[in-house]
This record gives sequence, C-alpha cells and structure tokens, in this order.
Amino acid sequence: MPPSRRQLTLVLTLGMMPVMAQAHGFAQRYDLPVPLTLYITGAAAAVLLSFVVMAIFMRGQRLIGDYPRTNLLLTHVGRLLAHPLLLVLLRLFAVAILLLVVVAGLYGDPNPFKNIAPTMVWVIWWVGFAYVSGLAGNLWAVINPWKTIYEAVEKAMRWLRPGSRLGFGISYPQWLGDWPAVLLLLWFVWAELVWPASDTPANLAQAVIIYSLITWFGMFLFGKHPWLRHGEAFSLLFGLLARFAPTEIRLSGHGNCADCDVQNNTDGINCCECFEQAPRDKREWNLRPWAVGLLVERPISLSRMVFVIVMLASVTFDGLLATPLWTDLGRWMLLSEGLRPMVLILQGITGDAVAAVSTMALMLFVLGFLLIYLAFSGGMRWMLPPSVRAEVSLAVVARLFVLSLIPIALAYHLAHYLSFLMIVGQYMIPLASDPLGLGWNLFGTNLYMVNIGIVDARFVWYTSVIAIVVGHIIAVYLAHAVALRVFQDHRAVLRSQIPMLILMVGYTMLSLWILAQPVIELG
Amino acid sequence: MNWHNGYLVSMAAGLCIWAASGSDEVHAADAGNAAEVVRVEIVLADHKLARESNVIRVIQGQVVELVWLSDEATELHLHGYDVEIQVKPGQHAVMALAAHATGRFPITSHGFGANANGHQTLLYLEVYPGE
Repeated sequence: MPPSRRQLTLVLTLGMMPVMAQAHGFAQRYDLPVPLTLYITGAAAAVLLSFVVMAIFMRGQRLIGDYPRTNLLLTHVGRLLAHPLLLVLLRLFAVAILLLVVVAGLYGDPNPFKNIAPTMVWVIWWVGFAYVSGLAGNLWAVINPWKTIYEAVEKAMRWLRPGSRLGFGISYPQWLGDWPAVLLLLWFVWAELVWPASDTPANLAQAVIIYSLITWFGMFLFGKHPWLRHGEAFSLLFGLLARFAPTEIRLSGHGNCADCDVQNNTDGINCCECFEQAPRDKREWNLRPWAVGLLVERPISLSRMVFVIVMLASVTFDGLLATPLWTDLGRWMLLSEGLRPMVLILQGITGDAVAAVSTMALMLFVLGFLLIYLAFSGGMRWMLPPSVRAEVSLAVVARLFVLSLIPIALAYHLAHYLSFLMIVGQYMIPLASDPLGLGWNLFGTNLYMVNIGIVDARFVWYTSVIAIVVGHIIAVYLAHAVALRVFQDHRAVLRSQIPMLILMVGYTMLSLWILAQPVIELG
Repeated sequence: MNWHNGYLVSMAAGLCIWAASGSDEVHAADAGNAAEVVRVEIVLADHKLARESNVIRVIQGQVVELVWLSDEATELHLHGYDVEIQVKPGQHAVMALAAHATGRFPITSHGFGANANGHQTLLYLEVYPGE
C-alpha cells in the first residue's frame, strides 16, 4: 500500500474516534453505574448462595420431577384471556403494527425520534418482548404477524382453489437443524449493535421487508411450522426465553409429538403445531414454576446450542459496548497495524471504520464465548468418573447444559434494559399520536415530554443486582438438576458441577461488572 | 474436601462483606448539600475541557449551575434534562437546572466556531440519589 493512502486511512479512522463508543442501536441510556459496594455484595451473594444450592444437593435431596401445574383454561380469567376473539384481535393488531413500522419507516419523518419504526422495533419489540417472553410466556408464538399473514394467504388459496396447498412442501432437511435461525440471529444482532443505520427509519423498514420475505420464502419452501421451529429466529429466541416463563401449553395424554418433527417431546409441551391440531378438550394452558422449562433430559441439537451461545454472547456484548473498556479496546483495534487489512475489508462492506471494528469484535466475542463454554464443558466431562465419561462426549455435555445459562442472560437483560425500557419506552406516547411524524395528534398525546425521573437510580441498582443474583442461583440449580437426571451417580453429579459453577460465577461477575461501569455515550 | 466447612466459611465471609457494605455508600458531590445551589465553573480551551475530571457529581434535589467559559463559540446540550445554551467566546454562559432525576447525563457540544458541525461529548453530569 502506498504511504499516502495508508496515511489517509489513518486520518479517516482518527477522525471517527469520538464516535467509538457506540452503545445500543437506538437512543441514549442514562444509567448510573452500580456502586462498588453493591457490586461486591452482589458478587459475594452469588458465590455464597451457590454453596447453599450445592449444600442442598449434597444432602441428596431430589427436588425435581413432575412439577406442579394448574390449567388456566379451567379458570374464568384464563378462558377470557385465551378467548378466540381476543386472540384474533391481538393477531390483527400485531399485523397492523408490522405494516405501520414498514409504512412509517419508508414514508415517515427520517428523524428516529419522530418516527415510530425505531422505537417500535428496538425498544417495544426487541427489549419489551424479551421481558414478556421470559416473565409471562410465549406471546410471540400467538401473535407472530408473519405467521398470521401467511395463514391468511393459505386460507384465501384454499377458498379460491379448494384442495390446493400453499408452498412447495419440501420436507425440512434434518442436517439443516436450526442453522438458518443462527444466521438470521447473527444478522439481527449485528444490526442491533453494530449497524450504523439501525436507527434510520427507512433502512430499518427495508431490513424488516427483507426479513419478512426470507420468512415467507422459508415457510413456502418447507412449510409454516418447520420454518417457525428452525428458521424464524424470533420464534426460536422468544421461545427459548419463554422456557423460563411460568406458563406453558401442553396436550393431555398426547404422548410424544408424532405429527411434527419435534422429537421426544412428551405431552407436546409448547409445540404449537400439535396444539393447533389437537381437539379442544385436550388443550392445556398451564401455570408452572419458573425455569422448569429449561430442564432437559436429552441434549439439544448442536445448532440450537450455538443459537443459545450467540444469544448469550450478544446480550453481554451489548453491555460491553457502553463501557470505557470497549472505548479503549476499540481505539486500539482501530489503530492496530496488524488488524488494518481486516478492518479495511470490513470497512468496505459496512461503510465505516467503527462499524468494521465492532463487527470484528462481535464475531470474536461470539467465538470466544463458544470456546470458553466448550472448554468448561470439557472440564465438566473430565470431572466425571471414567465409567460415566465413556458414555458422554464433549458435545453431548455441552448440549445438555447450555440452557441452564439462560437465567443469567435473562436476568442480565432485565437489569441492563430496565431504565432504558422505562425511559425510552415513553417515546411511544407521543409517537402513538403521530407515528409518521406528519403532525397528527390521534390521541392528543403528541406533545408528551419524556419523564427522565420515572425510575430512581437506587431502584434500578437493587432490582438489577437482585435479578442477576437470583438468575445465577436458578442457573446453578438447573445445572445440578440436569446433571442429576442424566448422570444418576450422585458423586459424579457433584464433581461435574464444579467447572459449571466456576463458569457461572464468572459469567455472573462479568454481568455485574458491566453494570458497575459508567456508560460511555455516543460522542 | 469438606463441603460443609467450605460452606460455613463462605457464609461468614459473605456476611462480613455484607455488613461492611452498608456503611460507606456515600457519593460526595463536588460541592454542597441538598437544596443548595451547586455552582461549577467549566473552562473550554481549544475545543477541550480545562479540567481533570470529565464527570461532575451532584445529589438529587440540588440546584445546579454550570458556568461555561469558552474561547470559541459553541452550542452545548445537556441530554436527558434537555437544556441547550449558546456560548459566545469569552463570555460566561450558565446552564441551570434543578437536579430532580437521577442518572448520568452527557453534555455534548454541537461543534465549535462559525461552521459548527459535529457532536462531541465534553463531560457527564451524574445525579446520585440522596441519602
């Protein structure tokens, strides 16, 4: 490379330095760092309570088994909430919102705060839906607008030409696993955390259109339900979070799912396809204890394990992006001679040097997360007695325990976004009245001013630290319970859990540490 | 290894840390107590802050006056509270607010000089909850 061009590149990248600290896709965060003492207290509590969980399992108490549950459909409130009319209205509302986001994005005000698209996508849908999925249940499976629209077209087809079926009806290839969803999730995560245009309404609308077309094409190729299970990233994402939730759908006396490709799913728990086809009197909508949906007896697929790792890594990476550590690291990466060729290639693709560096960091971070998890899985396997070890491979151990990390990630997500959701979420009030920024005032709220004092810092600190510590304890508990179910041998269970415990304590400390860092904002 | 002993030891250690943590949760403001006016002078020279720390800490409920002096014209914006002021070269400009909401709020400059263009964080105002 001639020196002049090299110098030019350097000047360009230096010129972009102030924008190095790019936080979450859209809008600002005003979080105060968690005070050091609270951070240490939280970390100590996590370590301490881990030993309490260990001690409970040491005494040989088996706390798992058939968990208690109540069928909500037998109650008045449950029947009202699951009333077909209400569900139809919810679905229509979700379709209307999807259309609104696209129309507002394409034709509305380009200012992200005067257009409903960015707030709807990044705050209400992405952050808000994760809360609903984890804390209440899999609402997304009910209102997914892509599914609703596809079903409407299916119905119209059947009405126009009786007997015809929409789509090619290719049976979903086993080897493809959840890999399409993994790729789409990576794309989404990149768009959220790195993409410089993520808050530009028009670009966001285009991305939504592309994703919609991919989804419908997938459904058209392989059928609606197979694609929702393996390709539609958000069905997988919210579905995994909803395994933590205290509600489930189930079919009484159904046995394993026979008609769909979900293997070994006793009673068709959270299998939408079987649920839709089952007679009404077999359907259950149950209240259950938190987190029991994350207990598995059999390893999940490799692709789904990678999906979970991408999910966990991206949530942590989002927090890391707003810390001073990232500012220094990113600056170092920008100036590093060794990384320059790679940065230039990515800069060509993403159009700016900061995005290039962030893209690289995101990829490395996901990869690092995966390797660390595999290393600790190896540690877990190594701790097993030889007789048990011979029966399980490293991959099997990794695929068995990955779901037990979800409570920590979910708790961190709740903590990290609490004030963001409460403050930035308020933009919905004026935007509801004037979604396209055309000066409308549909509900008389278009002059609403965001109240930045709605949540007190102290409330956010305590909620965050408690959420993370509780999430950690549930995670430790889940991993023990899974180990008990799978390994049987009591000594093997306890020994195998030492590396997992170290990993979880590390993950929890990292989550708390990020919360204790001052937020460095977009310059 | 005796797990039971390990458990007791860590329980004791945890309790000690917990006990120690209660006492020192104090965030000293740069000046003053609640309900007083906190006045901080900030000098900008050559587009940069002429002070060591880029964080100003106050306590919720205080009235804050940030007095700016710059060698070049600029427009300053306190995010969150949404206070905007124009600064003329060599003249004091006051950014006043009642710190009712807690948080960490960036103050950015929308560029310097005649052809002002840009967005640069100069410092952060941190409003901590009161005792």
